Amino acid sequence: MSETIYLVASDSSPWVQQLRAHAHAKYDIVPLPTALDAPPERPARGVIVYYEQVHSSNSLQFSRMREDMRLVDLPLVAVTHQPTAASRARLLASGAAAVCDADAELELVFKEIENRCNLEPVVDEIRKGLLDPFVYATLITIREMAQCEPAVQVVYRKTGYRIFGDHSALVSVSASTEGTVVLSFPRASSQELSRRMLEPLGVAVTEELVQSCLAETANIIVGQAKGALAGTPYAFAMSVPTVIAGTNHEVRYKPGLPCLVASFTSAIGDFALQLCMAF
Amino acid sequence: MKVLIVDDSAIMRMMLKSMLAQLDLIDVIEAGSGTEGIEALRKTPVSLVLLDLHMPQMDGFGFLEATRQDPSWMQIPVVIVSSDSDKEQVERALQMGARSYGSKPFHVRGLREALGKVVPFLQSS
Repeated sequence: MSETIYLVASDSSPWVQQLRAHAHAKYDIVPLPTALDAPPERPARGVIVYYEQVHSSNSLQFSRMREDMRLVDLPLVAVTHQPTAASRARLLASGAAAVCDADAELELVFKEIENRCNLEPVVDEIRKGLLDPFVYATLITIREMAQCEPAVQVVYRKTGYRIFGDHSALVSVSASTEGTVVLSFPRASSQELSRRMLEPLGVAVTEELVQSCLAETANIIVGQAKGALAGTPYAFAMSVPTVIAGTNHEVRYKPGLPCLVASFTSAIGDFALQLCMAF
Repeated sequence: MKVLIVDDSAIMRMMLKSMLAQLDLIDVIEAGSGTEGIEALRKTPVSLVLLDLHMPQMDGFGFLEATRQDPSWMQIPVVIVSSDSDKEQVERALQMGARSYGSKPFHVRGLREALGKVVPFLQSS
């Protein structure tokens, strides 16, 4: 089965036709709109963003795409004809993982994607045995706390050790080794979750209460998963949650531990659960 | 009937308080840890304790150990309200003297079920 690479470009461009022909059999090139409502649903190797020419407005558009896809952590590779040093710098500053010359060999573009992709599929055994109890606990807990029906968007294993968020609730877990479960939210999602939790109590949303809402939500999710995994090879003990706040902060993990990620979409917005522990 | 909520989560204390009010239990005091819970018991007699398990300083098990050994507190029914649904933890808490267990997340109905075992007037309502 060929892997997916997302493409943001005008479909009629000769370069795009060339790319499709070249990718045939190895990659499935799937078009994406520039304005995404949510991260793409299919696991993929990365995103190619093609510009005939780079204009100053492209930087803003590019950083918005980076923002839309931050929970999925896909590499965005910009491609344009004979990029200047200035346009290259602008695109890199806007979040491009790399900038390629459209007039160079197409193989180089695929190489850039392959080199920068740090996502892998989750094997079935791990998905069912370990990740699914966390995913199920997340669906139930968000449904109860926010009165909405979240859905899983993408599940993947990453080899890089970072994910971007504005609010992250961390729960340390100890099994055969120490690990971490992280629930990461863009600011809009954490605010909406908190609003929905606090409104029935007649309480206004404050930063302190947002953090309390996220901590408790993460605590419940991990507690539910702990119960489901008790007596299995993945049984673990848990700590009390802590919350990290700050725009686009990075959560890094102990190197060497695998990290499973499930990203969700819901009426409160997107969010992601990361499970970083030995298995 | 005075109820003591012992939970380190401010939001969970608010939610429990709101649910208790819906069950006509409006006389509520709060504590953010097992240690604060013991302090609260020293100051104010209560008829029921809702207790979280995972808390910093003194956790729910520590609170149970301290209160079940004290003759003036050992008769106060303790209902566990925890996110930890691990059977081993539930059984440990019940063996240590907790009377009932409710697993988060829950709504008023779940709380009523957990409290029904120790609050007679909630059994029939």
